[in-house]
Amino acid sequence: MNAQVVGISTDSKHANRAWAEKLGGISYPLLSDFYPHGAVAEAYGVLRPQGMAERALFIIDAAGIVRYIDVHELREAPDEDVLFEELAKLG
Amino acid sequence: MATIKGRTSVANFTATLKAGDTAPDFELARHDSDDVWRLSEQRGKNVVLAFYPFAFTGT
Repeated sequence: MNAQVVGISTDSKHANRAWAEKLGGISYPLLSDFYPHGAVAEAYGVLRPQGMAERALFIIDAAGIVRYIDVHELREAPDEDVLFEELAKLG
Repeated sequence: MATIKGRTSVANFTATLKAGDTAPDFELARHDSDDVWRLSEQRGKNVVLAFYPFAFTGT
């Protein structure tokens, strides 16, 4: 996939590291939007009142422009096929 | 925020952003390094930001 993928949650770095270890390693960085709590999620409009992030994908192009946004139900995983289609459009 | 239920997207915009907007820059601690990860350092690459509610609940 022609893209840098990062995961973002309001978890601490410690929690993200523990989770990555439990998964047996993870191939992309998990970022901690922990302090100030949820500031990045808030800037992107995906901070829930309970203090956690929505389940959401943002595709940002090489010039730093948002090209695609996909906000999902919390219990649902985003559709990877849609993600790959949108990335393919960017080349 | 839209509240349409279903398997597909709830929304393709948020309270602060829509397609075509400049992505707000940020830097955050990454789990696998002492370095911070900064969005503006990724210019020239496509980037996927995958927000999720909590660790241990899946991506």
